[in-house]
Amino acid sequence: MKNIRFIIYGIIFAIILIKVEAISWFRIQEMFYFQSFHMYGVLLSAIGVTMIGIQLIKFRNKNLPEEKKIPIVKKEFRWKANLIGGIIFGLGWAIAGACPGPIYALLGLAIFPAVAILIGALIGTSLYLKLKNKLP
Amino acid sequence: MKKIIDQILFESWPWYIGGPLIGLLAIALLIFERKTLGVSISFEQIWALINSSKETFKELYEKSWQIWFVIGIIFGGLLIHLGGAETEFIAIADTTKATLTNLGISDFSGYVPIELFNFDFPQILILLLGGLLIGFGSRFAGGCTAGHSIMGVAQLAPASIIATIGFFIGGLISTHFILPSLLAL
Repeated sequence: MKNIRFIIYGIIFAIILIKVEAISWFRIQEMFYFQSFHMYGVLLSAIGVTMIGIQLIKFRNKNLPEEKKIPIVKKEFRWKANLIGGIIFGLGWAIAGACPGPIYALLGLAIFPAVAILIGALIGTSLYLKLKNKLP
Repeated sequence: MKKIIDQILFESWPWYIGGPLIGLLAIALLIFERKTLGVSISFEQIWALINSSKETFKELYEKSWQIWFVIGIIFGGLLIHLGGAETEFIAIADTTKATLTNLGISDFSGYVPIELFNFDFPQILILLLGGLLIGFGSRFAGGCTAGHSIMGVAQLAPASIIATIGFFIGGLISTHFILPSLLAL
């Protein structure tokens, strides 16, 4: 039953991404040409609100016993992987004009060629898993 | 009142509405579910599912909330599609329109250009290549725009700041030097 809750979170996430046009290939190009503030506004305000929320959670965590604390998981720091992987992701992001969340949203919107992006992403993931031990 | 509801349902939202809502969703996931927002890990889960035995399937069913989350994302898109609430024309900057017109894009209706999003060759291979780089890169970097650029940067995590700088280096290279040649194919 808990899984149904995650489906609902996903539905809400998709509606926001679509309504704010973050799933649009056109918007991604506009962002990388620095010709509008729109996508930067989306990213920066999302980061800002998340940052405030995390600070409040951390503040509240202080007075709570260990088991009641809300865990805040930090991403593992591996600068070579973060940077090189990041650049490779960026190359694909601008070509497909969609990051992972929007790929699924496009499928829901019946924009079926996006299936190719998803299949590509799965192949890319399997390649990464195969090469994982040889990469930084 | 009806006008406002129509606006919410059928028109696009400005960044100062959509952006903060993404942040609130990330925080709600953290507080109510104790989950850290992230999407690209779902690629690994789907890959495991494709290659799975019954055990991995069961494990995924119990542990991998992101699988359910991305199913929800598909449903969300479907809801908007069935409700006819899609934006007909994305109001991108005129300068971007001019730039893209020079690259051979002429149809600016819908969320994506029909000149690239179709099942012809080589377009379908270009999308596949884009996806391949997205899948490989996001798993290598340890996350994508959601997990790194929003969740991670909001924590000022060094990994996420570096990854996000990478996202933009790659994106700028692609948009300015690679995509123009691909669109000319």
